[in-house]
Amino acid sequence: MKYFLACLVTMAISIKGFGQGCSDAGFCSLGSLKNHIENDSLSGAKKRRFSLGINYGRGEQNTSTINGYAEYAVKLNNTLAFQSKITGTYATGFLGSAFNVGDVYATFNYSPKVSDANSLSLVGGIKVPVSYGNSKNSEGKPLPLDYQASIGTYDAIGGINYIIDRRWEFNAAIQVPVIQVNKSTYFPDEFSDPRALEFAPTNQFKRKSDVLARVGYYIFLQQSSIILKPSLSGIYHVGNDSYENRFGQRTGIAGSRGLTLNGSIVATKQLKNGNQIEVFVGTPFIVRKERPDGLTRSAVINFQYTIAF
Amino acid sequence: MKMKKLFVPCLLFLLTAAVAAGCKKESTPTSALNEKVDPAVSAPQSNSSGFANGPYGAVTGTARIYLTNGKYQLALENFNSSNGPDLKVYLSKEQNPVGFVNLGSLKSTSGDQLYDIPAGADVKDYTYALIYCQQFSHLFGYAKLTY
Repeated sequence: MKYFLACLVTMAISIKGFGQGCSDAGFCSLGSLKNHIENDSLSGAKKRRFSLGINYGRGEQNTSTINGYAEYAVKLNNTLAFQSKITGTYATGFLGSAFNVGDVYATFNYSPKVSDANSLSLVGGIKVPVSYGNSKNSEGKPLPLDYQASIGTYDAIGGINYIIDRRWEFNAAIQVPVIQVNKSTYFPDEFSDPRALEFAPTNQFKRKSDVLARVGYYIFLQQSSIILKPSLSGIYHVGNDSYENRFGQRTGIAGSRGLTLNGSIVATKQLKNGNQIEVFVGTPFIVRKERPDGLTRSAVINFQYTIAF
Repeated sequence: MKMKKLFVPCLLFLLTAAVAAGCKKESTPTSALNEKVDPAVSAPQSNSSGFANGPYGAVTGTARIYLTNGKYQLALENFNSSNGPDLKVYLSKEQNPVGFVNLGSLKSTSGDQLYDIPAGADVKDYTYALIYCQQFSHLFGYAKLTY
């Protein structure tokens, strides 16, 4: 336990020095794409898991976001599992504050038997928005997407996870907005504070797809039942996002295409009853020039508790 | 049994949050504004036109375009509107938003208020001022502008 606490303290201290931009539209933190190794002797007989999590992130112009989520996963048989998740976000900054329910995720995870040491998982699912990116501040002014719980897109998600020798993990994934129902009406010039200009206009925002590649390495601390996984993730945003200008014309947001490179570490402690405590911290090293979707965080720290039953 | 106890409050919380989020129906401030053009530096560019109700709202008052220090402005005078979730002020070539200019969020449901018209808009092309709920595509009211 003391190793676990030491890890927490170290990570909490270290996020102060992080730079700008941990960015993803949700797929990084889904099921086996997030963290896949577990101690089967503790949780193998339990088919269901219920998780509650909360994370804190610092975004553009020091916007603070607190994101909570609930997750339910069930093993349908030896190779197939289903997972659902709902998110909610409170955001606050110099333009105001907003709370809303975000998105619902539903994913299937197929894990055919490969070998004792290696494992393969295929993930497929959808993201459905519950809100549409048009929360306003107390003065009724539309807030940028950095303050929104969802960007209002129905997404298809697919991914693959491969673990070699229970040590090296490789992920690849794609998240494609299929139906875009974003209702943002944000124009920065509606605010008199010049810092609002740092947020790109996102009136009737449309977002492009992301692809992910990640490599991670599992470190087992046997005495304390803690698993550490540092990882490096590259997320490529495949095109420039766009918005509708004041004349009703669709306009590309230059610089919103490109690569985000994130570093992260996740620490998982599995308890004797199969439950889990998980702490994740992440920060980007490379960011896109423009990040109108508001998903970029200078640092994120996440706590999750999972009950297996 | 423990899980059942945990599920119910969590589910209730999530449903309550979802319903609360969906109930934010009226977002425009209601306090009366008093933004007026300065007659010493502003010249009217259109006649003063009264608002008529659209299918989804009740709007009264007048709309008029002024030129102030080389910039066009739309003035809403003695204005009152029913509230809505996402009310915007448009200049439009038709009674519905067709060939429009989005002047931004309605500042208040009542009082005198001014909206800057973006440079590049040829105001005489626009023959309607609209109060329009953008999120739900509902017309609350319109005024026909004459020059």
